[in-house]
Amino acid sequence: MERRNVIKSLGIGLLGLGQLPSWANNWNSDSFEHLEFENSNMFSKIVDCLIPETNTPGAKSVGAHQYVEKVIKDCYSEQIQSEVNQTLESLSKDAMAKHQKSFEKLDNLQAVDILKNNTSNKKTVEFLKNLTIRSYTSSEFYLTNHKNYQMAPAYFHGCVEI
Amino acid sequence: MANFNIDSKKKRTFDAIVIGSGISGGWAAKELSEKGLKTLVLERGKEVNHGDYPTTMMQPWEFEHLGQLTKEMKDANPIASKCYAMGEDSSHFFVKDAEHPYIQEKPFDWIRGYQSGGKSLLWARGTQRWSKYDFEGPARDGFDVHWPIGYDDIAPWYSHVEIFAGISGNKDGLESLPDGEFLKPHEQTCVEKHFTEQMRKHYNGARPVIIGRCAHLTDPQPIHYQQGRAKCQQRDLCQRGCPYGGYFSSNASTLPWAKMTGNMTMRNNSVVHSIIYDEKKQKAVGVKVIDAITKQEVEYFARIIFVNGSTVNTNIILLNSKSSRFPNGLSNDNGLMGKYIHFHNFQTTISGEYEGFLDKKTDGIRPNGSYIPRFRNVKKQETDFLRGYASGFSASRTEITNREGWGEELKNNLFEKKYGNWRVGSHFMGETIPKITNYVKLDETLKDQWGVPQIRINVAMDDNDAKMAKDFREQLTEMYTLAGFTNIKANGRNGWNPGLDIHEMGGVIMGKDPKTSQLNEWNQLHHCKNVFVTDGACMTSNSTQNPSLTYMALTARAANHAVEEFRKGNL
Repeated sequence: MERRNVIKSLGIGLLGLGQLPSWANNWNSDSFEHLEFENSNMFSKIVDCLIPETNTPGAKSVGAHQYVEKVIKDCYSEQIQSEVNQTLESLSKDAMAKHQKSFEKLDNLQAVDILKNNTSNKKTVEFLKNLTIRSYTSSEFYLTNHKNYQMAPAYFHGCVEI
Repeated sequence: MANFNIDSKKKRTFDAIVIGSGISGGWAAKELSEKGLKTLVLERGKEVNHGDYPTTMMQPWEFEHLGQLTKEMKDANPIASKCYAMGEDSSHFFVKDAEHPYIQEKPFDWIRGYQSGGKSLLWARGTQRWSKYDFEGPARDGFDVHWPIGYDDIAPWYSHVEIFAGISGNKDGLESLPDGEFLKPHEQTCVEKHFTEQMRKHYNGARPVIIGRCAHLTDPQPIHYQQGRAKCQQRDLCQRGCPYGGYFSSNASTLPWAKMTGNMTMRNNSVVHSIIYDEKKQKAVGVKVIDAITKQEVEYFARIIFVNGSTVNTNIILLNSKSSRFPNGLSNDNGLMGKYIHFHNFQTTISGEYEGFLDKKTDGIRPNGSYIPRFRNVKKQETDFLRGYASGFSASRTEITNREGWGEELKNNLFEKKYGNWRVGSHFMGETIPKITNYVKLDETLKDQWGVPQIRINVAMDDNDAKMAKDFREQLTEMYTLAGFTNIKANGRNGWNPGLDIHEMGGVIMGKDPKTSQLNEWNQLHHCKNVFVTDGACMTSNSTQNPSLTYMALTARAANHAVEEFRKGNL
C-alpha cells in the first residue's frame, strides 16, 4: 500500500476514536502528503533492486524508499546525510561509466551489481541496505503476511512446538 | 467587591487539595473523594483523559520514522531521549529538556511526564511488596534514618491497592517478597522455567526465580469493570497509553473513579509554586498556583494538603514554601529537607544464550518478564557491601532476519523461517544507601518559566554501589553458567546516570525522630500536620522492589488516616 494512503486511512481511524485534545494534533495525515523527496528516483531504484518485486511485493511497492529517505533526512546527522549523498553521486557515476545510463534507469540486476561493487562506499551501501531491510520488514505486507503480526494477541504461551 | 472576594475564595476552597495526579496523587484523589471530602487535584501538565492516546492504535508501518526519534528531537532532548520508553510513539508524554531546566551539580537524568496521570502512563508496571526485612534494613545496617513503620502496618494497604489496581502474580510463598492479592500470573517461557528449576537445585531454594508481578489485568474482576477497564490485550505498547485500561494508570483507574464520586475537581496546567502557611493557625491553609499557560497566580484553600508532585518536584514545592515560621521550607526545622535523595542502581546488565529447547518457541506477547528477588544479605550481612539487589530475568526466542545476499536472494532470505538460540538477559536493580551528601536544593537566583526556583541536583553513586554491581555480575555469571547458558556477557551501562532509573526517592523522608526526618509514621510533616507527603519523596530507604506499589499503599493508608483526623477535627 502506498505510504500516503496508509497515513490517510490512519487519519480517518484516529478521528473515529473521538475528539483528541489539541496537543495531539501532530498526529495527522499531512506530514507525508507535502513532503518533497529530493532523491526519490534514486532511492526507488536502490530499494527496488535490493528487494525486487517478484510474485510478491518488493520494497518499492511497499513504499520503503519513502521511509528510507524520510528516516535519513530526519533521524541522522549531517555527516551521515552527506555520506549518503556522496554515495548516491558515486553510484550515478558508476552507472554512467559502465552502462551509459543514469542509475535509476538501470534494470535491477545492473543496479544491484553497481551497489555491490561500489567498494569505496561500502559502509554507506551497507547502511542503505539495512535501512531498506528495516523499512521492508516493518511494512504491513511483510508483518501481516510473513510474521503473522497481531497488534493485540491477547495471549502468551511460553513454550510451544515450532 | 468584598462580597465578590469572599464568594471567589469560597469557590476556591475545598476540604482537601492533592498536588499531582500521577500514581500516588491519583490514589490520594480516589481515597479522599470516595470518603466524601471535596477534593481539588492540581496537575501541572496538560489534560489527558483516559483514551486521549493519539498513537495507541497505530500499526508499526504507520510511523513515518519506523518508531525512531528524529535527530531534532534527540538533539533538543539529550536527557529525556535516554529513557527507554521515549520513542516516536510516546515522546508527546515526556517533558522536553528545555521546558523545565535544572542544574546538575553531578550528572542526573531527570525524566518527567507532565500530564494527567503523570508517569503512570509510562511506568514499567512492576509491582512487588516490600517484606519486613526491607523495612527493617535501615535500622539493622545502621543507616542515618530508620523507618517508623513495618510490614504489618502497610500489609492491609498493599491488599487494598492491589485489589483495586489489579496485580498479576503467582503466590510464591517467599519470605523476602510477600505474596499479594494476585490475578492470574503470566506464564514463564521454557528457558525461564528451566532457569528457575536449575537455581532451585543449585542453591537449595535460596535463589528463587519467579514470574514478574505486574499491574496488568490478566483476569479482570467486577471492581475493574466498574472502573471501565478491560482485560489486558498483551500488546506491550503500554507507553502509548492503553485504550483498554489493561494496565493500571491514574488515567484509567483512580482519576475516573474519583470523578465518579462527584467530589473531585481536577485543574490541569496548575503549577504549584508553594504551600501557604498561616502563622496564627499554625498550619497550612492552601496553595499558591501559577497557571502554566497564562502564568497568572491563583490561590486555593483546604484543610488537608497532599503533596504528590513526584520526588524532585515535591522537594521543590516544600523547600519553596517559606514563611517567617519556616524560613528554610515548610516544616524544615532540622534543615535536612532535600537531603537523603536516593535511587536504584541500574548500572549493569548481563546477557547470554541457551542452546536447549531448540524445538520450542514462544507464541503471543507478554508485557512482563521473570524476576529474581533479592538473595543477598536478606536476613543477615553476608557480603562486603551493604544491602542487595533484585534482577529481572527473561528468556525469549525470535526469528532471525537473514540479511545476506542481494536482490531476489536477499528477498528469499528475508522470508526464511529460522530461529536462533534462546536469548537470556537480566537487569540489575540495586538498593542504594540514603546519604546526607546526596541532595537537591533550590538555586538562589535561577527560576523556571513559572517563576519557581530551579533545583540543583547533587546525587552520585558510591563504593557500595560499585561493589554491589560487581557482585551482580559475578553472581549472575555463576547462575547463568550453572544453568548452561553460553556467550555470557556482563557489562556496565555507559552513560547511565542516577535518575535514569526513574526511581528517585527521598528528600522528605519518614522517620520517628523530627530531628532527623521530615514525616511521621502517617506521612504528615512533623511540624505541619495537615500536610501529607506520600510520593517517592517520603521514602526512608529504597530496597530493591519497584517502588510504585509502595507509594500507592502508603498514600491510601495516609489518606484514610487524614480523613479520620479530619472528621475528629484534628486537622
